[in-house]
Amino acid sequence: MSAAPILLVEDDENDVFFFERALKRAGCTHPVHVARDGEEAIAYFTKAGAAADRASRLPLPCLTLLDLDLPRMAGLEVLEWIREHMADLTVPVIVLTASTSKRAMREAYRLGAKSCLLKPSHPDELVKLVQALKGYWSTEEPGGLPNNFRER
Amino acid sequence: MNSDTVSAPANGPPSGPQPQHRPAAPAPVSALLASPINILIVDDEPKNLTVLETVLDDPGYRLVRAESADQALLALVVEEFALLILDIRMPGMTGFELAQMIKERKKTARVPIIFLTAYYNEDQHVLEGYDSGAVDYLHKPVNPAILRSKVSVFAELHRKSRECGLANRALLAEVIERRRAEAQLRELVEELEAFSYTIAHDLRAPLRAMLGFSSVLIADHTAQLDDSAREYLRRIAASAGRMDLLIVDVLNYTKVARGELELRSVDVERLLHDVIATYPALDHAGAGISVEGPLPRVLANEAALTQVFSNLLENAVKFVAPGVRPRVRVWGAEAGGRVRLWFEDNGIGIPKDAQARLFNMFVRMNRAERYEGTGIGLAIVRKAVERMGGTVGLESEEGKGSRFWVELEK
Repeated sequence: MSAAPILLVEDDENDVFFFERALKRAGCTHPVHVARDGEEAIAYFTKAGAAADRASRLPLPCLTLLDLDLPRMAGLEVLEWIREHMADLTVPVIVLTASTSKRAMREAYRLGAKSCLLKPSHPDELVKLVQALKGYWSTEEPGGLPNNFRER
Repeated sequence: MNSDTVSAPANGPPSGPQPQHRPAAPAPVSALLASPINILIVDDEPKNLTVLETVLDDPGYRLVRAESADQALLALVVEEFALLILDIRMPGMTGFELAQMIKERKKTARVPIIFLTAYYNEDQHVLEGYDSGAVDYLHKPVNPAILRSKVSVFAELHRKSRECGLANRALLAEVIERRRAEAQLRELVEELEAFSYTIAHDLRAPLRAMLGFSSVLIADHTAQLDDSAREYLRRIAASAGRMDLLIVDVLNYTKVARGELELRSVDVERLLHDVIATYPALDHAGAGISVEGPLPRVLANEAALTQVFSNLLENAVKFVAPGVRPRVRVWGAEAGGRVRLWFEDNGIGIPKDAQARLFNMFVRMNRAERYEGTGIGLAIVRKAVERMGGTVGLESEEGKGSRFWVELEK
């Protein structure tokens, strides 16, 4: 079983690059799975959480970084889907957005986001931010299952 | 009916039939007010009607004769009347029965009636049955002076209510027109704001990429770059960063200008200490900011007030002469239910002639190389304070520092 991935839900190629770089710089060795829109994110979750065959299940992400402004299916809808379909699993989601809309943030928290953060403008600040989220991605026990496989 | 033949003017459009009936333009108000008022006179005796016509001969009145209740009802359907003069004793339907029908019809219910009766005593109790004040009576034979006087009172009443109605209608039309214009304007402003918000928001994404990639190039590939390449990259990053700042400020301005600002009692002193502790720009060159408490609380929106404080403090530490350590003093004074907060700096000051337009958008006093800035900061301050029901101002002299003040309700 491979280490639990970090799921990055982001449609902006540049931001994908900066996130992957920041994670690497922060010392994160987890694989990063990128979903380019909300539907791809849900497709991943479906294969990870809901697949009937235990052996073929994809590992649940130890952390999901979710952009709110996505094509096809907005970030808030993704949060809603997770809350509806993955209620009994630990799926920590951090919302990262370039918008400062308080209403969107409030809504994200209501739908279960762990935190809502502004995307930093500078790549170094992004590294710091990813480091601050270390609690989510460095709790894996060596050789064992990622802790978020425990059911609530 | 005699109608003129309509011929198309010689230079008119050659094709297509000319419209024969144009919608009648509404009569001008003055013409309507000047037109004579209609009075319906009802009596089965033609000679009585002629007497009435003689007594009420006046260019201000237009008398319409009816020799029976049926004729009267017909006339009432066709035209509007300001007054009815009604004989009570008529063959067929009596004046009372006719009046009853008139009062029951909504359109004519409010038309005043003067009854003419030869048998006053007998009819009096019936007359009292009408609760409408617009019913009067006269007994025959009619005294011309009294009739004229009564009719003129009703005529005047009618003219006044006609004037009133017209003025009312005009006013109503104006109100409706204004409401529509206001709604249109509001919609336009909202669209414009949403538009500028989206634009500003979408502009930031490519800018962040520019800033990000040039920074990453410097950080990750520094060995492959010579000094001038690094310098160019630094300039790209700085320019992108400045533009990002500009966009953020525009967004902040829009937010302050259009958002709902709920006002609460805010602990000014705590908020100032929070701002000083958390805004990195206030760390500039070992700036010394002293808050001279205790400060009174003010009625404000905390988010907007945070923006106001940080902008004022950032300006205060930024605009100092080279090599000078910024020193800022903040204190408050209370007068007449309002609180004035002062922000005093030891900066370069502002020339008198520039102070009036200082709070306008995009006003910058200094060259960009010397002091970075967007020219929006003080516009945000003023907008935010005004939206919280306060005022802003300053006292300053070139080279001698500035004192900005913000006044808000307690």
